[in-house]
Amino acid sequence: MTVPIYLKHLTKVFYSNGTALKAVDDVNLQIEAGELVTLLGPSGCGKTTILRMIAGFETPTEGQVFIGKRDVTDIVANKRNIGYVFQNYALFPHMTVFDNIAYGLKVRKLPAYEIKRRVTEALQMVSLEGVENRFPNQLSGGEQQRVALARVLVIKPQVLLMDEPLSNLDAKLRIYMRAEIRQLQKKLGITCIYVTHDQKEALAMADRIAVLNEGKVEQVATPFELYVNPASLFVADFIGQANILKGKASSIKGELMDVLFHGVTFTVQIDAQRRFKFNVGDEVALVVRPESIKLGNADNRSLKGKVVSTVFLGDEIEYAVEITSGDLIRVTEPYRKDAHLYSEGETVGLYLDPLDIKALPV
Amino acid sequence: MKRCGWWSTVVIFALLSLFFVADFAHAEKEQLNAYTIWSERYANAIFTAFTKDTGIKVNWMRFSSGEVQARLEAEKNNPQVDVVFGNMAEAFVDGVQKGLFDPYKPKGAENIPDAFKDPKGYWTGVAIDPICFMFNIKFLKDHNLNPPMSWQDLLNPAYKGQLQMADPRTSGTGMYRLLSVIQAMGEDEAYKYEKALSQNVQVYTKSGAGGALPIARGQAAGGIFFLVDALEMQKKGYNVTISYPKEGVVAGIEAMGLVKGAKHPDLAKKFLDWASTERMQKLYEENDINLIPSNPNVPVFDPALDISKIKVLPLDVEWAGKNRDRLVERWINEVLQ
Amino acid sequence: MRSFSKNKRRQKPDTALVALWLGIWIFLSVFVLYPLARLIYVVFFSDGGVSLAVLNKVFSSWYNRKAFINSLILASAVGISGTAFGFLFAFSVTRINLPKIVKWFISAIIVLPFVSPPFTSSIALTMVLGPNGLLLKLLHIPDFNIYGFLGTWIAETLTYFPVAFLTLTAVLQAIDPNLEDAAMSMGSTAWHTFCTVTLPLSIPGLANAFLLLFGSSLADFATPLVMAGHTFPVLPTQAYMQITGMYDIQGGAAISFVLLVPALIVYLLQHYWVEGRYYVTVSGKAGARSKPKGAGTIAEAVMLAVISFISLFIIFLYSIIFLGSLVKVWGVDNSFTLENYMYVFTVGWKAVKDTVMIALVSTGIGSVLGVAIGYLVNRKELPGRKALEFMSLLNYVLPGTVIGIAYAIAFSSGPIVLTGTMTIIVALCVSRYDATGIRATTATLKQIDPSLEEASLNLGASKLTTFRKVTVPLIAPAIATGTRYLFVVSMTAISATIFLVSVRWSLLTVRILECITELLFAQAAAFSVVLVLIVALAMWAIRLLFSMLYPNYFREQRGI
Repeated sequence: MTVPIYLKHLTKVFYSNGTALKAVDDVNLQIEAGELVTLLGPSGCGKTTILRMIAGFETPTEGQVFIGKRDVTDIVANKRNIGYVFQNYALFPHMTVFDNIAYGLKVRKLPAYEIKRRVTEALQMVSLEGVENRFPNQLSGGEQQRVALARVLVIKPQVLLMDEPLSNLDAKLRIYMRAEIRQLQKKLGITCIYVTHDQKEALAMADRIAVLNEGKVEQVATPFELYVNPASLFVADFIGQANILKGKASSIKGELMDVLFHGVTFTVQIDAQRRFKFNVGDEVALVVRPESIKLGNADNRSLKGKVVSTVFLGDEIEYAVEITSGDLIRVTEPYRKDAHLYSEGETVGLYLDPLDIKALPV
Repeated sequence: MKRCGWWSTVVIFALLSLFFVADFAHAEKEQLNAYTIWSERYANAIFTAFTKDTGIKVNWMRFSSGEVQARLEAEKNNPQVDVVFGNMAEAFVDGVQKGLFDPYKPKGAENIPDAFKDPKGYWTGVAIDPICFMFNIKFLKDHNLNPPMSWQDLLNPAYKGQLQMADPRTSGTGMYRLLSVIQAMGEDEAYKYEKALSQNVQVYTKSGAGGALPIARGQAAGGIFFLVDALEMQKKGYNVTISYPKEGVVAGIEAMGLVKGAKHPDLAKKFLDWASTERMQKLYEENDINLIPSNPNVPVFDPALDISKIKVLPLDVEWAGKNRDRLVERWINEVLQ
Repeated sequence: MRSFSKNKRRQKPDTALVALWLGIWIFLSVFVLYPLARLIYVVFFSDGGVSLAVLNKVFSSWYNRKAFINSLILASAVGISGTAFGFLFAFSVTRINLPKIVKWFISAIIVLPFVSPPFTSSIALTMVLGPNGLLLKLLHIPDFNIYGFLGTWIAETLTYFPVAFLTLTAVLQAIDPNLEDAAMSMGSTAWHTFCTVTLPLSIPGLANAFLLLFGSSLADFATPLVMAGHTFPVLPTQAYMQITGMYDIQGGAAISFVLLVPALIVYLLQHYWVEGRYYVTVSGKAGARSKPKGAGTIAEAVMLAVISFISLFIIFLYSIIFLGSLVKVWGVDNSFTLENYMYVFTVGWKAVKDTVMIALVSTGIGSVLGVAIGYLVNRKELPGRKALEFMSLLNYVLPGTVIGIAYAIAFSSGPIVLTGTMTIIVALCVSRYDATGIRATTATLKQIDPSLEEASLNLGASKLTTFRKVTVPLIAPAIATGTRYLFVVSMTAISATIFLVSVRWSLLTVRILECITELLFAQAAAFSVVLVLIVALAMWAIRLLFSMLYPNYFREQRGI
């Protein structure tokens, strides 16, 4: 049975030495049944604290946590039936793999044969068989990760919470495991909240991503929406790479706005849905992704700049161009056989497609 | 297996509480509690005989004279024992001043001479024990010496670092040595003498009999003891000689008394009655307890216990008890300095 | 922004936890604070008001002033010689390739003082160097007097230097040999390197070792009682004499109070000053570790000779105890006999029984309490944690004589009367010797990530189950350490318990002391041997128990 999660005005204040620190600030979040939502943000943004409040390890200072229709805010951690995968796996070092996985079942006083059946099943599920009698420190990092996963899945939790579960693995295994976890989650149809600070991981796995900053939710959206249509400067900057040019609104006609940036006027569309309000004369941030800039010979429609560095990455070429304003603009062009490789020191023109420019308030 | 942990916890706690209940209940049982300064063997003989005669079990502990006194004082508000058996009479006098004892005149004490008991009944003497010299015969022979016959003989430099005797701070023996010297020479002279004597002392032992065995074994040349401890060595077959100073010695009175606020006063009185009988003092002879009975009706067969030929100096027990602290203080300041 | 006043939620307190917390506070208040308060009251309140009269009286006695100075001299001497010995041994073990037999000696001399009654080395020393002693006869020195400063100093140094050795071994092991390599590569000789690099880097460790030994010697009661004689009074024995000899409890309390002050200063110095800079000079783990450097060949040969000699001497002393228990009269009649053991099992049997009983009960209660305090202080956000931790270690830090006298005063009158019960001895052992268990639990818990306990909660286990199935097995080694220590020390303690023995509850160590004061060395030796055997048996049993309860007992050390 799969259930939604609802966080309502969730707030957590930590007090230490007389000073209060608001780690989580009025977070409202609805996670649909069977959905995988990642909490993404820099370290210290409160994402782990949110997860810990859902699991019941921390008591919210204010607000409520609903799992399904049940308000679990005042329910102790061991009665919530939630799976939690820790960053360090938290495998019991004094128990074998079998005992680790069987732990939750033994607590639920299941008969021995049932325990054995379900442990075997769980190990199969994470493709890890034949290690039942080993101790955690005899396993590799990836294997420990699988045991940790099997240990929570075996109790058939209503929801699955994962706290940076892949951060201790090497890059290759990380990519492999995230696919596998995603697959498993979809197969089981279990509602899942996944905390990470790795945006690639978040983009690759999530149905939706909640970007957090200083305890507040900045934006909740699908990876695509988040990338293409960031709701704030923070999100734009945090997700992917973005060039941010700060110009001035020179005229506004309905949904169209002219922004003047160093002698070049860009006409951009105002995102009406987000109800951004701009006035003429306001400072406006123009967000441009590196891949939506074309390089060519400079003319009056383009920004003029000088190539500072050229890095050949195989599938693409990454340029850093210093424009006349002094800003450093990042540009990536896909590699093609006939492509022209600009060399360092060369003067270039930068062409920005107005449709690819997002205007955000500063 | 799962419940095993729980059960063991319950069992442990049950045992623990049982244990503490037993600990306190034990205290309430009708048994006589006593302190004594007599040596293990002597005290054992006496208390065993009492239990045999009356069926009353005795818990007892042996301490040196000072420790018994200190304990009684510490436990003043919650007395742990009912009687003190065998402590020195002057210690009782001191204790009476501090309110540690209750008067009780035991039945059967009529036959004990007045010199050996308190007129108000705070203490009753059960035995007499003079101070004496005990020396290792081999040491004397090796150094061409005769057994000392005077206090002054002990100042002979031949004994330098070779004498062991008791510390008056903790030991009744030590105190009675000091009292003997005071009675023989007068107080000021006595302290000068003790100071001179300390040159020859190897160690002041905590307990009165402490030096006896080392002397018997030849680890020291000799020392000053109660006769009871010296005789013990001699009777065990050690090569020691007992002698007395011609200036005279004091004889200790070993007494018993009822502790104030005793939890088992009836048992205590039963014991005091029993211990005043001739029957009790006859146990000395039967058990090789080398003490002189305080009751003249009890016959003494051992010639070593016949003190008619030695000079026994009179001692005012009241004075000794009341001046004890001052005498010890002076000893620390003038002799140990 | 919403206001924080409305609908504010607080962590709901766990009633069982709060009850336990309160229980511990009550226990510590009654058995730590209350006796000390009564002691201070006795010392400072006389004639119906605050006064220094009692202290003045005590200090007006030249003998007590001498005892105070002697105590400080002795403690400094033992601190210096013990630290020197400890450093010598530690340096040899960490920097020189020692023959196996020497290593075996060293491990023996570390364990021996721990498991034997506190005056063992004193008895042995008296048998060897006392009047008519074995070595004196062999060497023909008839006029040697061991009693006094010399004997006390030697006995305490031999008893306490293993503490310095253990401390300094840890320090020397942490000094990166690469530093020594660096010095050598710049042209320094081995000896010069030792003087300019290794020794200066060990200074915080040396200071710590010195303070530890200073404190131990200051508090030592048993050794001076046997060895110091009347010429060299020290404070702990003086306090005892004042009480037992002069019938003066107030004076004894005052002397012990005088002892309390330097002891507390040493503890605070050690805890807040030395431990703070302990590892500052020691560099972290370097990549490749080179072979440790010695101090030069000649110096090494000398060191080896010296430590072998000292080790052999100590082992010789302890074997003397065993031999001494099997002869009729030591040094006079050396024929073999078992009658000393007969004495232990007849006359001394009650003391053996009582002591084992007290040790068992103290160990049971104390190890549970130690774990509870260690766990609550480190894992639970409860008010007054720091204060509780300090209080729980207070009885351990202060000299036994002080605690013993404080207990004797506090529990003989007033609202709580415990004189003559076993409870008073058990309470003392528990409140004084659970410190090791608390410290070990604390150290282990700090290494265990709280996520392990959270994982267990998350999997549906209750707090209690989590504690039983996850926390306890993980801290089992710490519990075992605390349990072992409690049992051993409850068996061998004397400095505090001597004031608490009663008609109904006597102790082995007090019996041994009695034997010594009556100079019955053979019986004292037999008692000591029996005590060591009981302790050894108990250590083995505790080990067996823990390895049965927690089969993965040795696994935890491998890390998480």
